Amino acid sequence: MLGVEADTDTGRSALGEIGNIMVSSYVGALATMTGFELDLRPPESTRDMLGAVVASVLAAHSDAHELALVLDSELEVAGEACTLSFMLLPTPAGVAELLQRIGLGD
Amino acid sequence: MGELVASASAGDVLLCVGLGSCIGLALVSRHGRACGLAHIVLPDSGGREGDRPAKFADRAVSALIGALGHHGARTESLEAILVGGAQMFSMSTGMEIGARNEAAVRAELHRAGIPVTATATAGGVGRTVRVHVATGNVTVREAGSNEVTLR
Repeated sequence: MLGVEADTDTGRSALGEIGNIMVSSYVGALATMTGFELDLRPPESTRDMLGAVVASVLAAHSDAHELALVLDSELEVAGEACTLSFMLLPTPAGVAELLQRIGLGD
Repeated sequence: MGELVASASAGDVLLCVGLGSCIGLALVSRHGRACGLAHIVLPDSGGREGDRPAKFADRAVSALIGALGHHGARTESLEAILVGGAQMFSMSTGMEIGARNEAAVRAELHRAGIPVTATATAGGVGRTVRVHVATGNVTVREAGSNEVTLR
């Protein structure tokens, strides 16, 4: 990844920045699609077992989530294939609104 | 997440993969073979019913003790091993769930009179715990590290 080892301070910082850019892009696209105004708080990043990371995020926002929106993407970066998954956890109130705005509501 | 299991079958290995802020609570009987493992997500059910049996610490501990009772293990014979309760995101506010989970589980164990004999908790890494029913051994592995025997 950019010739930097992921497990160094520089690597972690780069990972955070790339994550921030990617998330901003996805959120921006979502905002355009839905007409929502979406504000981003400062990003945080971590690198660990998938289950540990996802479970910890879910536990911290425990009142909210029964629905997750997952976008799996395949990118090509400088000739190399790269996959990423973007997971959005809307609040219960937000779900109906979101689905309606992207044409999946009842 | 939120599940629990108990066994006295020698071939069984009980497993929680990827414990972040969650607590993997292992109860092992000092007499006989019964072992149990619960994957606890949050500290307090707030009186809510209907969720998974081990999701909340205030219900999980008694549920797990009950499951071990079905395998003939008495509460007095049990000892507890705690794994997890980490803080996965270093700068977050409101994400001290890991520490709150550990405290809630310890409080419930204290109420039940069960001693905590080993832990691999806190810090910032995810962990996987295995309970080997044949031996009563409890092992922990962090991502990218070797397996460590806690009990």
